[in-house]
Amino acid sequence: MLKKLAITGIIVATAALFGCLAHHGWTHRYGPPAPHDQKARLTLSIPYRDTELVLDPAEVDADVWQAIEPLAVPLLQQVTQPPWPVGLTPSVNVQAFHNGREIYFKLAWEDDGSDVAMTVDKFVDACAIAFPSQPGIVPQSIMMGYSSPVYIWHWKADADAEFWNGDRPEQPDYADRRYPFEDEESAPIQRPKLQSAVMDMISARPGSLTIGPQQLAQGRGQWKDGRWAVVFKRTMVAGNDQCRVQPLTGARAAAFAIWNGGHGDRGARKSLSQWVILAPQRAPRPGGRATQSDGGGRQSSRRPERPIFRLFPSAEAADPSAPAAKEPKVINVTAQRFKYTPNVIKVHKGELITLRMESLDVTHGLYLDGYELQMKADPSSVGKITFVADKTGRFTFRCSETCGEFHPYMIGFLHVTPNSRFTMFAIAILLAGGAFAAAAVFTNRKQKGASTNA
Amino acid sequence: MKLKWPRSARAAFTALLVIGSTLAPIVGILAYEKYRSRQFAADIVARAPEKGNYSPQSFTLPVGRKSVIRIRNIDTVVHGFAVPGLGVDAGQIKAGHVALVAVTPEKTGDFPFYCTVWCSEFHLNMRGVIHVVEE
Amino acid sequence: MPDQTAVSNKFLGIIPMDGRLELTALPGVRWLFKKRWFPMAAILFNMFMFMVILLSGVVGGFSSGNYIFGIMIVWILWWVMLMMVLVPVFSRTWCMVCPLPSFGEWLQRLRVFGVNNKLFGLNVKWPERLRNMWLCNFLFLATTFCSGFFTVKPLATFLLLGGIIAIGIVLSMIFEKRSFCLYVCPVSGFQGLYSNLAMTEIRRKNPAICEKHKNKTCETGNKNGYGCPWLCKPHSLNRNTYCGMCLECFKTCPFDNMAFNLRFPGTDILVNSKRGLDEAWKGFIMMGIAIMFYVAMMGPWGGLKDWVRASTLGGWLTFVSLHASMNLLVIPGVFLVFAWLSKLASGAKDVPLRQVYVNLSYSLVPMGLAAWIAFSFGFLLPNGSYIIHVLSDPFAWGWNLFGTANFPWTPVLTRLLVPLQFITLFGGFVFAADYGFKLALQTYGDRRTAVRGFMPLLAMLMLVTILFGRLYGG
Repeated sequence: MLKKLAITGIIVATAALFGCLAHHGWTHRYGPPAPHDQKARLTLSIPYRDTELVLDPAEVDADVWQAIEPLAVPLLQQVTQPPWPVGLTPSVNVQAFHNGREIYFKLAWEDDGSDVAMTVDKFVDACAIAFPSQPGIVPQSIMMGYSSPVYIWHWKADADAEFWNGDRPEQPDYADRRYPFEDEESAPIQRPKLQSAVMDMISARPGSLTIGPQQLAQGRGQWKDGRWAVVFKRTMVAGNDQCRVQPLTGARAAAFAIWNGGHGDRGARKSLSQWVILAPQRAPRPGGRATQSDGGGRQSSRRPERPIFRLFPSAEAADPSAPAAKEPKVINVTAQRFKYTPNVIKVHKGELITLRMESLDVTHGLYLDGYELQMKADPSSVGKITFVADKTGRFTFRCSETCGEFHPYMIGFLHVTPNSRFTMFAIAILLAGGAFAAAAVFTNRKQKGASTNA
Repeated sequence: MKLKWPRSARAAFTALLVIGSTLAPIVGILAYEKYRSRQFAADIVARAPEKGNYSPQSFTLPVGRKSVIRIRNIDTVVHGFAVPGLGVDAGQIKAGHVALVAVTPEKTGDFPFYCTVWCSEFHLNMRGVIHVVEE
Repeated sequence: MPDQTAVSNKFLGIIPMDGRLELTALPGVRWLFKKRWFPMAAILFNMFMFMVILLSGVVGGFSSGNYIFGIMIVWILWWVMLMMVLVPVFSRTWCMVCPLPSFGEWLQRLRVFGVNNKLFGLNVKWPERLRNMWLCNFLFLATTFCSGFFTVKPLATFLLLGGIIAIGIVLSMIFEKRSFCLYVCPVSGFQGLYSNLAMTEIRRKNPAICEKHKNKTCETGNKNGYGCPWLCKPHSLNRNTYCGMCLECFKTCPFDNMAFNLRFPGTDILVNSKRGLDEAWKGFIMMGIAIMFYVAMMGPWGGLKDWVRASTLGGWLTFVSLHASMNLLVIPGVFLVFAWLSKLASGAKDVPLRQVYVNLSYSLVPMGLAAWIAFSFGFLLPNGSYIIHVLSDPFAWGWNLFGTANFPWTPVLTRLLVPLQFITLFGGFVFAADYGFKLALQTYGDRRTAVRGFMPLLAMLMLVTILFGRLYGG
């Protein structure tokens, strides 16, 4: 009896000890349990107002804006790498309304000096609104196209001055590195003929910022007493080509960015916000006529295709009969957790190959077995290796920068044809198998002969 | 002639061996680590915001004295740690690695610190603040 | 009685397989094996290592497994050693020094070094119907469902090993002796079947001595040692499968009649004792797991990796059902087709298909081990360098015990990886084909029939080898 008690005690103690350790391990699996600080999601309501603005400077303080409660949206630095940003615009006041045909946003923020032209040590003040082009964004995720494709309305003070006042800038063309990208692939920008002070842009992710196909957004800004106020205006008309650039498709959210030229803000250096949920009000229905003024309700059911943009077209699209002797064949690989795309690459022996890797989420690497080459890429920089595919066979390339839990298994295959190693192996097996069969049959016959002779 | 130890001595020796291979290493390792960590003014764990962010996210340092901050990356991605206001940058801290940063703050105030490496969808949220105060 | 002519006890018809080199005849070896502190000293050392492993698992949580002692030592160092050295060469020598059942066994014996044949615990006999490999098969398969966690999440490795220790303690308190090791431990099934390939064995020397010895102390125990904890009969042991090499029989035999022999690899495959469908399935499962692990972890298919790491529950369940059905149904089913073809080709009417199926499945043992060794190269060469880091900084606390904490990730000789895998597979094929022929001779008896029955098996082995080659390097 005592024995059974002791045994039960041992079993219970074992289970309890294991359970406690397992529980401790589980609750501390990410380290010290931290309190979850879920910030309240900011919501911007977009009421209906039966007003139209023509973007006159006086309209910046129009009555319609006085009657709408501004939402103070806090901003954070985007750049968290040296050289460190100088200042932060801590928040921007946002207001919005629509009149069934156009949608209006007003952004107002503190800026102690208006920087309307680029000089040697100063850049241009600007602001922008980004809308996700696909549904399912997560509040508090990074904006500006990092984890989802976006449409952007980009207002710049110098474009405003040129469009509205006719002030011509001193340098017509300049190189604009919108995001820290590749050293040798800076994007020279020719100033397009201005259709408005606001440029419509599309970005799939950092480094892929391109000018949108339709330029529909307009804007006007005014700086007074240490504050900028910029009004955006854009049509909400649907049912034609323009619907691809409808701002209110996908999730109804927006994010805001402010550049203070005097602080050296440009490109990626800016103050920006998290996603703010948009809550448009329906327009009242006149009589029995349906309107499409519910802020994009029907449009949001149409899913735009995900645009894949590159700054430069891939060389794969080049003429295959072009001489390959000097120009390496560029193969673009995108890396994301935990796969490469394309995951299987086929090349011929002797080709000069450049593997160019872009990362879609975090830092990734690429190490090529057999050739023992290595590179890495992160969302802000591209990796490249160039080599001659002189060894044949199938080679594994694997991730060389810890990128998450399945990092050791992030793998792709490079086939360098012809795969003579495998062919030799298969032939060896066939020969060995044939030898076994022959030996079995031959010794069988020999045995049979021996036994009959005996 | 074989030497036979008394039973109690043998039992004690066996117990020592068993404890020495089971409990003693665990206690010893934990004690050693605790002792080693005494010198750190701040012991921070770095992980992506969705897994808890830096912990602690804010801490205090004395002004005018050299403090050593330890940052342990217990995540599965590379993180960073930089305090621009104090001129401190630990560079890339790989997964499973530890960075030690020495800093002597010269004035009091609040100094934000950031993660400097693309580590997650919420990378921008990965930040905290150091409060530098009089002793 | 099948006619086992001279050809059948020579490997490839050339190398004799009957010879035994008795290692315990060498000076000092038998002396060591009879000491009660051997292998206990090794067990205590391994116990210390496992404490470090378990601690690193708890402390590591969900951090990066590459930099945690537990994961690197268990899944790279120990697993590779098991596959490449411990099992093919030394049979179940890991079981000799394994610390996982030790707490349970010490509690049963209430001793660490001494002898107490009145074992504590309930000493219930293990149920007759489970005295086979079926439970091990399912448990091993079940652990591979979680392979996406064990090798990357330290806490998962802790849960597995800690769980095995805990279950070992519980079962040791209820059942007799090493029932846990024999019928439950997941590693046991794999070691059991593949130890047939090993180059060492424990056998009695002189059968006459054992015949005259009425009170078989190797089974019952005496003041020098315990009766075989693995429930074997050392006096008539003829296969490695269930012998855990605990060396108790060396201590209990009053005539020093036990021997530790070096031998030609694989002779146990031909021993017709306790063969069964459970062992056949073990062979299928090991091959199926090798395929699945390679495809999921070393293949380029990201969608499958998402399933394996359970990024969605539905994906993981899909993986589990595909994996289970491949191992339990598809591979056995394909082999059934070839077994049937073999019987058809042989023309033998009196040999039951079941016997053909079971017997010929043992030819998959060398094939499976070769596939596993080749697979192991695939993570040893690229990732083995993590071990150097982890020895200096086992818990990712910033230690630097041996100065190697900053040793970077260094893939080694990756250009030799695929050639090494091909060579291994080729070697596996040669062993599988030769043993396959000998198994056919055993099964069909008559040589002519056996040669005919062998051909479909040979074709299957060639196909399997080429398919593995295509998977690993094609």
